[in-house]
Amino acid sequence: MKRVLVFALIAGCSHAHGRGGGDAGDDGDGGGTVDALSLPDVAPNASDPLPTGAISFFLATSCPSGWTSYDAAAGRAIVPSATDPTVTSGAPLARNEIRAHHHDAAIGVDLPSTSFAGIAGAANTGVAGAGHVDGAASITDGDAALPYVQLFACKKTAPPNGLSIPGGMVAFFESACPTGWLEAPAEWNGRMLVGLPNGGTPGATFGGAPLASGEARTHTHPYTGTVAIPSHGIALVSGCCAGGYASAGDRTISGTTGAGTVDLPYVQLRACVAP
Amino acid sequence: MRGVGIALVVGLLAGAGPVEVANDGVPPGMVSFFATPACPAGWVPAEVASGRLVIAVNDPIAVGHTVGDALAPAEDRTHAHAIGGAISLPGKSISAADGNNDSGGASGSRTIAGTAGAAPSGLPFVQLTACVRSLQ
Repeated sequence: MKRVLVFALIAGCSHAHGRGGGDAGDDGDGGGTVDALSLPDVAPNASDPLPTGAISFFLATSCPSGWTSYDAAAGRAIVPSATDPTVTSGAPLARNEIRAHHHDAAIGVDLPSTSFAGIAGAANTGVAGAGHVDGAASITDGDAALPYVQLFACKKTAPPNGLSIPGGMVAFFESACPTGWLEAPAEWNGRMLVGLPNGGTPGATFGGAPLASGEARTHTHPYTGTVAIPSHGIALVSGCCAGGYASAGDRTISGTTGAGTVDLPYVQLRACVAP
Repeated sequence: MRGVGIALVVGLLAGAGPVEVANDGVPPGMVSFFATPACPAGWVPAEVASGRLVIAVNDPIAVGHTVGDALAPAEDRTHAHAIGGAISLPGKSISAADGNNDSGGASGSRTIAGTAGAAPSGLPFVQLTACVRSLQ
């Protein structure tokens, strides 16, 4: 079996991007290429100590001997779940996809009143009325700027070879943890897994509360804006008693957008830790 | 700057035939999280996953590609959106000709410009040691 190994002690060189989803064989909309070479299998007919059913990531372009592609996770993050493995949320990401999301918002402006020394009514409607006026907002779709790396996901099909597994190693399973493996710490459940940044504290949790099973988490934004109200000249002095006309000037609007979901797709799996 | 990165291959198997691996037999190139503060012997930090979520793929071309700028430790990344729109201000009639008193605001359609300010995704995270099985 030919296997391409992308062994990368990687320098994460970034450059301008497209929106992802490039066709197979291209560079991924500016996504760069992985300088992979076709090589013989790393260890033909090799065996390893991972239990049958273990799911793990590989920095390789195919699965090693005794493993098969785990397509159920393709385009998804893996979120630990002690209760509902294999539940998914969202549609899978395309290659290099930067997924945008949407918010709605109800907006309105309050126009303070001015008055003129004249009589209301008749045909000149050049001045607006005072009071609250609702408008139609348009919020630009955008992405949540969450960084990710894409790794091949494989599921172990062969039996373990009986050798020891490094203590503390995490593997994912569709069912209960194998004999001898430990359930991952409860605080991992319902959270997206992030590779530890340099200087970070291992196991630190942050962001929102853990996801409920299959939850598509939403968020909102505070918004502010301005509406410029130009003047409309009237041949009257200000004063009594034609009132209820809008004053000219810039008006500020503010509020909170409607809820939007980042739609980062995931699949829930049992996270188990080697003793 | 956000972007899609290139995974630079700095180490590749050389030559043909089986390669000797460490005693545990774990396949080289396996990337795993660890419930430990450091990588075990035979493994090295998976720098490509540092500060990043891992998206599983079955597309060989996608492997190793990164999207976006890595997170700082415990960073709850925020984002913002531009906001626009329009408000139609109805006129209120008055018995007067147009003139020089500019205190009144003009009727008609007015545009809105603003920002839906920075906010996090609301997603929860845990940062874990990520290691890649090295070639030995």
